[in-house]
Amino acid sequence: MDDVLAAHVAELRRGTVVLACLCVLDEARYGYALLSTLESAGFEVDANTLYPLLRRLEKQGLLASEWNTEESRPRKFYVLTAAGREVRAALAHEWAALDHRVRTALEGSSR
Amino acid sequence: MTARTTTPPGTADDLVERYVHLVARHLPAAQRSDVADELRTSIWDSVDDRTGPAVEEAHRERAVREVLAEMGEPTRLSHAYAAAPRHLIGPRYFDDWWTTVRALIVTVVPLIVLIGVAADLGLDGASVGAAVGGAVWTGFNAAIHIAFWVTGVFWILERTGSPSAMEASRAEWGPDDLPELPRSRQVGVPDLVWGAGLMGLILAWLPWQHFRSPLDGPDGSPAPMLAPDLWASGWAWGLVGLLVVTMVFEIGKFVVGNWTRAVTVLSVLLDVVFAAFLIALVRTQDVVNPAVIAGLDDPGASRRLVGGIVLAVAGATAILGIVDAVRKHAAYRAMTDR
Repeated sequence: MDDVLAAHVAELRRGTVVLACLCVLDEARYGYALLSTLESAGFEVDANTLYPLLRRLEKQGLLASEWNTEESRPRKFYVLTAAGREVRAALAHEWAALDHRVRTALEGSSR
Repeated sequence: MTARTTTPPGTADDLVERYVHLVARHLPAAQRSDVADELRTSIWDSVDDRTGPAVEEAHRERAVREVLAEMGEPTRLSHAYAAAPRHLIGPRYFDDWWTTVRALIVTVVPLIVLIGVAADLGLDGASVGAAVGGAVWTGFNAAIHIAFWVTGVFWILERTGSPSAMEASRAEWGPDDLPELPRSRQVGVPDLVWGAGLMGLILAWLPWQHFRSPLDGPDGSPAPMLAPDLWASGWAWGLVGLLVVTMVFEIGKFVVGNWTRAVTVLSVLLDVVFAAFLIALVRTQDVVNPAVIAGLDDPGASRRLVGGIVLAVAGATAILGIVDAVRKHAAYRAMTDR
């Protein structure tokens, strides 16, 4: 039973990784910094999920990237685009609606 | 931008370089170095975060091993980066691919095998074993070729990404597109292969026994099994004609698919005509080549034996065939009346 639960929880969280990323990228961040930010914000994301995801979001035009070579170690910074902001608003709205529907349904069934 | 090109083997730097290389290796050239640079930085960021600045090599290497183990298998990470599909045929085309391969193999391969056997026996005079063996090998090769080329076509479909005609037709799918339930058919591919194939084998046997007979005449040279006179008098050609007609009928029966009234009547008619022909043949003609049995003590006995076998086979085949036809027609009637 624990395995089943763990699989469903992982499935649920996988769907929220994109929204989590978009939430914290108003200010430009590089891969590892973003990973730390998400972790401290309570989102459990694996590095091997996050790094490829950033490139996909960039390809979709939701993120823009730039190499910063001023520091000792060159890093690729990602930041939200206008399109990314729109998608984030829509996803956040959907998230709230989903939460509302789940609560309503749970209340209905517990009555 | 690559800072670490030469690194001593087995060190922390070496481990990271090997990992990054494996991930980036199969990526498109355009993004390979970009992904590699970013991944390398990310790994070192993570390592530094664990060790803090300025640590001894052993500690650093342990941290690198931890980070790489958490990142997981490099090929899986590489697949996550890659946009192109990492499979030959995906779920989108799998059913179409399988249907095509299977349909081509079950129709083309038996045909090739039959033609191969007939050609080897009839024209080249090979032995039965060699002919069947050769034809099966040819059929096997044909199946491999079919599978290979069809898969190649679908491999291109999978990667070109443009919606194919098959996919486009599916896009506007509605309930009206549902096909009729498959008509249940009584005559399947095995019936066709058996019915038409048997006729083909006998047709192939006729020239073989004439030109490449394994039997010897009185002078020691090969002599045909069937009396050569049969060809001159037209009886053998009549047999060829009947075999061809039966073969065409078997194909027609497969196309119709069921024992309809017309199929049943034709089948019974063919059974009767074939049996009558064979009976008339052995009663009026010397079927066995006299040259082959001339050396035997009692040539009449073997002639009677062959005649008896032909009569028995002709009669039994006709009776069984007619009973079978009537039974299957009754089943067909019961099926359609429902």
